[in-house]
Order: sequence, then structure tokens, then C-alpha cells
Amino acid sequence: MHIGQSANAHPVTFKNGLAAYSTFQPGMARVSSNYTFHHRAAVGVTYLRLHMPDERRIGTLGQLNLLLYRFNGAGSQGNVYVMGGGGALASSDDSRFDLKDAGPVYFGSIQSDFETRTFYTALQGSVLAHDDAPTAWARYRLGLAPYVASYGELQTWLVGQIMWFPDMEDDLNVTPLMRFFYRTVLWELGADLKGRPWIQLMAHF
Amino acid sequence: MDSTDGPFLKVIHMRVMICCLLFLFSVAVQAKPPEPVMPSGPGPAGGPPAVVVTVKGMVCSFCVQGIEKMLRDLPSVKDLAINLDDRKVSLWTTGSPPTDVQLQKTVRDAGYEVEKIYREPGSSKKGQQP
Repeated sequence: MHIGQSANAHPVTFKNGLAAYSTFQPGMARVSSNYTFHHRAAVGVTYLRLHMPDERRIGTLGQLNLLLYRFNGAGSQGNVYVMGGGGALASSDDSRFDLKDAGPVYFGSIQSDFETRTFYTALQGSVLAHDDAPTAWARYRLGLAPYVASYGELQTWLVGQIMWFPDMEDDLNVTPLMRFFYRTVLWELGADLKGRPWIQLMAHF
Repeated sequence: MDSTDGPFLKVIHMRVMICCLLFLFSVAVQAKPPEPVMPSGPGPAGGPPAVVVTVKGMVCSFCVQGIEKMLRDLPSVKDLAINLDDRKVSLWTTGSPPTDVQLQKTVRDAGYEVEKIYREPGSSKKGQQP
């Protein structure tokens, strides 16, 4: 499992907006929150728990998300975000963690997306550094809306997600999923081609 | 997921259940009266909207919630309606409607751009252009 599989759905929302989101997969649970203090910037914090075959990791990271560029079209929107931050990550081969042994972890990411009311595409590249050499990964999403919902109604998306982890043996992960919006709540449900579930929830206030 | 994830799977199931309950709660607390179907239709005061703003970039209903929230926070806004088909936000107001400057700032803070502002004849004159 990899921290990259839980990328931000909306790194920057609206001024004074507060977002909370969580992602669950076998071997990984992540809970995050961010606060948009400027319409182009947000700060956030993430709690992460990873269960690997031979060790477990827990970490807390702070991050800054910046909206570098936004294109607001007549029927479309495009965005470019950059995100970065760091924190501490502790490892253990049993359930007990000694936080004094926690090491620093840093990450950076750039994300671009474009959408209309029926089409959505997003590309993200990220890098993470902890203990040893940095690792990088990329994610691409393509989404189609089977119907167009009015404002305030349930909107459904069919999304295909491809993630590439060049440093890992299992380097390609393909996940078809469904994304739903209803008012200020978003949730995604899916499973990759190996049957591993994906659940992501987000709400903004 | 295999049998070795037993205890972990239980934790995941519990967390998923908690998140589902939080989701249902968040949906329940947002229950509100239905918005006007036609942006130009009668609002709570029985008349047309005082201001209709055409906004660029309004394609995602999840994200557009921010526009609604920020415009509702304006003191003079009594009610509003959002139509994603024609990208219009209709405002019914009490007292002096928001000025053009206020509207452009609010929409910008929500992450969007104002394309056009239409004011119902007889409503307050628009404010200064930026």
C-alpha cells in the first residue's frame, strides 16, 4: 500500500472552507482535514496508518496546498495544484510504536485536472522521502457522468483510475470506481482489478 | 483481503460504519426546503430575483456548494437559487442588494469568476466596478 493512493480530492475548496476526508483500503487508513484560508491556498493535516506485510507505520503530516492556476470556462474548469509538506512517520513490527524513533517524512505533489459536467480527467505526480531514497508515483483518472444532475441532486460519476509505482514490484494499479456527490458530501467506492476495495469519503463545511 | 487481516478487517469495518454514519448525519443536517426550480421564478418574497449572476467555471455541484455558502453569508441575501445548466445564481435580497464589487469578491473567494451581473430594474444601483 502506498500513501499516494489517497491523494487529495479537493486540495483547495473555498475561502474559509473546511474539508475533511478519509480513505480506506486494505492495509491503509487515512484521515485528513484542510482549511482554505485564501481562495488559492489551504493548510491541512493528515493522520496515516499503514499495515505492511512485515511492519506497521503510523504518521502525522502537515501540508500546504496551493492552487497555482485555474481556468474558469463557460462550461468547464481546469486546475493546477501544487502540494507539499512533511511530518513524522514511526514504524513497528508489532502493534507498539515508540514515537521517539519516528523519522521525518516529506512529500510533494503536483496535480492538474479538467472537467465539464459530464467529463473529468486528472493527472497527479508525487514524490515522498522517508528514511531512504525518495519514491515517486503517478495517478491518472478519467471520469464520465452517465447523467447530468441539477444542483442539489445526487451526481454520479464512473471513474477509471490508474496508478503507477515505478519503485514497486506491483507497479501498476487499475481501479474502476464510482464517485457520488450529494450537497457537500462526496464518496467513492470501488475495487482494483485484484479485488482490493477502495473507499473514500469527503465533506466540506 | 485474506484471513490474516481478520482483526484489521474488523477495524476497517468499524471505521467504514462510522464514516457511513457520519455521512448520513451530514446529509440529514443539510435537509432544507427545495430551491426554486426556475432561477427567474418567484422567490420567497413572491417576486423575481433582485440580482442574477452568471458565473464561469460552475460545473461541479460539490464544489459550487462553496458559492452558495458564501453568498448566503452576505447580509442582504435572503435566498438564492443556483442553476448549473445556464450557470446562473439568482439572489433574492432584503434592503440594498450586494454591490458588483461585493459579488465579484465573493464569487472569487469561492473560486469562480463572474461573467455577468443582471439587476432587476428598480433594485439598487450597482456599485463601483473594480
